[in-house]
Amino acid sequence: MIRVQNLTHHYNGNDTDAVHEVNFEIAKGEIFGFLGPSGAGKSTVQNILIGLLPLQKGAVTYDSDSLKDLNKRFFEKIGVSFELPNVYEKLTGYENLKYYAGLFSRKTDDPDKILERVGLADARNKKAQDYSKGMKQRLVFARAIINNPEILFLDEPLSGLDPATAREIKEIIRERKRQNNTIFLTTHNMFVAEELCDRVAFINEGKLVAMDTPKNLKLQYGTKSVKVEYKEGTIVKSEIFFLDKGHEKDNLSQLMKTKDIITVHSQEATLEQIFIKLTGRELM
Amino acid sequence: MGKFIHALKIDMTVAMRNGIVLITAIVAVAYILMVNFVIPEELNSPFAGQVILDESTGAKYSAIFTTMESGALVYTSRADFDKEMDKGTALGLIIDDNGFTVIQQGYEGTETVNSARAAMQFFLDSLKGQDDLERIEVQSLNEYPADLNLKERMVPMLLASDVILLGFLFGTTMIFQERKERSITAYRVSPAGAMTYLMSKATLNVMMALVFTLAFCLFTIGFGINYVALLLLICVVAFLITFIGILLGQFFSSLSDFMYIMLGFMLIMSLPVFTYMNPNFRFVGMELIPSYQVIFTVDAMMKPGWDWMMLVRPMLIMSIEMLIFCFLALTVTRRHLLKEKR
Repeated sequence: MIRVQNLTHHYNGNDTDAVHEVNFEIAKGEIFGFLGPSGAGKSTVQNILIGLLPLQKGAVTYDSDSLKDLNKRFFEKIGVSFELPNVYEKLTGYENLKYYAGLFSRKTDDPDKILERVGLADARNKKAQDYSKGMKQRLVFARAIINNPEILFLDEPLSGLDPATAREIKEIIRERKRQNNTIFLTTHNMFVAEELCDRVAFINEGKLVAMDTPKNLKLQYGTKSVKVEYKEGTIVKSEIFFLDKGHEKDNLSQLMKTKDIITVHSQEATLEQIFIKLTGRELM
Repeated sequence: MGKFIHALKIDMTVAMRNGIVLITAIVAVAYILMVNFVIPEELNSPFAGQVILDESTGAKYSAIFTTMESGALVYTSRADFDKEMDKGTALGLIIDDNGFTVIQQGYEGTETVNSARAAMQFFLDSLKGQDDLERIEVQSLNEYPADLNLKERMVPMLLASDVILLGFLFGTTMIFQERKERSITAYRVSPAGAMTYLMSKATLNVMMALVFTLAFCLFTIGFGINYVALLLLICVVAFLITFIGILLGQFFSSLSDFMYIMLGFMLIMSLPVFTYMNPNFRFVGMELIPSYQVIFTVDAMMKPGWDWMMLVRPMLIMSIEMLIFCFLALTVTRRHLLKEKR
């Protein structure tokens, strides 16, 4: 379990804290989505969690070990996928994975198998400098999982990927969850968060503004309404019913019984709409 | 050890594909050709020696000068003397019954003028029976003062220039490239650590320096040097230079920002070359400059009679420097290069 308590971080020269009093817990085997627009503090939190930034204030514990006491062994069990491609440009895709895997003491996966999984098998002997942005992104993701990490930090893992590859990467992420890996997923893509995450946290201007399962957030902040399309003669009509109003429930029931219903849509809010409602800002 | 080998594999492959190995090979070939075919064994100095005009009564000194085989050109005619002096390559001495006068071209060093003056004074004194040659004892501080020819003298300087300057440049270039392509951020979250990072780059530089040294020396001076001692010396200096390069390179974001530091470094490293060419140029602390130790230790190694004890002092100085810079580079790498900006 990852436990973050009162995490605060301040960059020299700034008036306000980049991250202020942030608290959350991530259970083993959970995919935890960290949503926020650029500059909200997502990367700062992730960089503290992976030890790249010093812990100034607050506490971070992995199981019962404090982040301050973690040493090189900590890096043996984490995998990090960065938003911007950061591969050795002069090395081939295969060499990038093979040599990087050699930096770990633990057993690592076969680079060829992972390359095939992320759709780079044909480009294994091509230098990374000749890869497209999407290919580099896949290589970065492949490198993050080469050491079979127990905790995965994924920063915009699907950014710039075509739908088919994105589907495959999502499947790998779900597989890792099934293997009881903990996944910290940073994104500003609400659809990715909604599809993959067990819980999401919204961060804005360094502060957490909401945290729950996507479903609960929708229930809590969305409007309980149903849009019904029905046929009246040759004309298609539609009507919205607000379910928290007693008489509208009866009206809906009546309509369902008497009309020729074509479609019924729940009118729940998207995570994007909830974020805007809470912060006044858009995620993108 | 496994992590170090893999980090070294990354660095070696990147260095090869960046052309660093090729550049080193080209420099080695260029230096070998230069020493063997371009640089002469002796340099003909534009200074052609001394021209003497004997204006004494009856030109009484000219015969003596001629029999002495002093190498100086002796004239009794002013016109001939002036003609020779007009070539601009000789120091003139006009001798008469009252003494002598020195005629300078203007570019001669004080040392040259003073030695000519002293020689002439000694000559005149000896004619008067006032010389005191018996009392002059010559002692040499260097037990084996055998001189190297010009080709051989170039070897220590060229060796130092490659091992030190290229080593410094390559070490820092690799850091800048890793920053540019951000691969350093991936390394940061691996368990390899700062020591592996530092040692793999230093080892690569040492390997290239050793191969360069072997190739360059074998094809220029052959087996006229103790290669075990030479490679030991180069090994320590290559480690030292890489640590200095990595330490300084971390405070700059690109090679262009680093240019001023590099120029300053090259200037300092080239100072011992002046001392090598003219021993009068010397200042306190010069021995601490790595190029000084390389140039003078390799020079001594090439002379007959060199023994291992002569390696102790330079190795001691450079080993202490190496340890200091290793500690500094390691600390800065750990706190600066392998962390995000705070």
